[in-house]
Amino acid sequence: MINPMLEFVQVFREFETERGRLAAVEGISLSAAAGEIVALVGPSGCGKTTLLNLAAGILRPTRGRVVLTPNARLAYAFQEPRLLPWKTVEENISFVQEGLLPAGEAAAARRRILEETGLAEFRRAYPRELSGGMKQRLELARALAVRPRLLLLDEPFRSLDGATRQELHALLQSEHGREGFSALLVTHDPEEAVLLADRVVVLSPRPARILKEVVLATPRKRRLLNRALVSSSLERIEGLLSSAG
Amino acid sequence: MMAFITRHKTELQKVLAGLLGLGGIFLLWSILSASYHPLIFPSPRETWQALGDLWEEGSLVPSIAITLHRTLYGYGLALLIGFSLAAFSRIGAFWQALLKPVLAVVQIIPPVVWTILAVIWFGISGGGAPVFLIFIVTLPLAFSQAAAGLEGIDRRLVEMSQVYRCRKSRVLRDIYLPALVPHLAATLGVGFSFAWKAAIFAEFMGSTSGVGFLLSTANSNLDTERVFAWVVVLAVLMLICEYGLLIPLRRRAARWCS
Repeated sequence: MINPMLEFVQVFREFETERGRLAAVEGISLSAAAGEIVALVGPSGCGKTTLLNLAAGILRPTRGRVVLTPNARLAYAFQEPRLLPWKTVEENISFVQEGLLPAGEAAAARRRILEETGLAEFRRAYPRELSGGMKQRLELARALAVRPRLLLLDEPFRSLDGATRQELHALLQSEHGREGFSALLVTHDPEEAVLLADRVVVLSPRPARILKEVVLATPRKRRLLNRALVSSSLERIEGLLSSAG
Repeated sequence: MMAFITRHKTELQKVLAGLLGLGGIFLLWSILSASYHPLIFPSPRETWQALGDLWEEGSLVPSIAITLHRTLYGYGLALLIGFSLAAFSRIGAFWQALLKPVLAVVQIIPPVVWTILAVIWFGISGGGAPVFLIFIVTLPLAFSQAAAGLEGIDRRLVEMSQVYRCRKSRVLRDIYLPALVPHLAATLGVGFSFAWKAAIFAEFMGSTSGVGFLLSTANSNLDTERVFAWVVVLAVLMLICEYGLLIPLRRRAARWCS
């Protein structure tokens, strides 16, 4: 792969606990090319979020290297929305845009994303006035509003109902079509992974190791329209996950 | 009218209970003053007359203004230095370990010792001694409240700001400062009343102006009516400050940060 947007090179990550050292990630080598969406699936607590935190620079590897394209604009939709409680919906977005985008571009991106995520009429609401699902939307909206080159998504559709989830799948798809960002998507849902990603990386139980990489050849748009196209890939991934425990 | 009473029933009950408490004090004061000589326990009427004299002499408002100015100056300085030291102590465990015992020693020394030292160092003619005493007794409180506030800052928000490469000045203004607001509001409540008392104490012990100095003069002249008049003034001022400023400020801070 030429110039990947993100690359993990033999990454190990351990944590100090009361019971000694705990290995969370073991020898992961992984990359995401420009414009590629890579999904990470694996059992709960296997280290998927740790991988995103390593990519975001929140954590440093114990061994190995995490390489990002220099000056790549990064965005992270966290699993638990990390919103500033004293700022409105719109201010939460502008807070992260400042310094990353020129003012005019930031305002236009903010307006568009608020419209597309259905948050426009809540732009002056505070996070405490939003439901859990709306906070999750805002977390995703904030990440998209910086027009990222690399988007880290940690279960961004987790607490949404079926219809909203599909709506936001379509939004992610259209934003990806427009902006062409790379993404690392963590999800517990294999179906979501095969619908949204170009490649699905199946991880083992902790410590996370790569069990298998499944490349999805069918164009994403067609997959979203006809889910039957991904049934064989889905079966393979589900089989791997159930055998991994 | 009935609708207003029903809607604000709890608040009205609280106000009535508060007025009942104040009425109780007034009643007890009246009973006691009837049983003792005015030199020991002046009546509310004699106190009111003394208050009128203070007003006519023109010493009431200027003295309050002097004491208030010193309080705000000394306490403002304590807040500034206390919050800065707390922020500084976050740099590392070494600085935290260095600063904590220093401030503990400052806190352990009784205010009367600081007053004696303040009078020796700053004299009694200017406002230096009261300002110093206010500063030194409220500094550990400001530091500990700010340290608790900084300790309680949501690390996850700071991480989020780092991911988005937010400027440090914005992180300070939009994450650290708002998170400190409830602690600042709590500090202001306790600290201001503490600073006010310290100011009067310092002026009483070593100053030639301010409310404390006039209290000291009244005490020396065995003018108990004036002492009582000042007690009433101070109580009213603190009630206005607490209910008119600090409680609404704490409520606003709690609402803002919820």
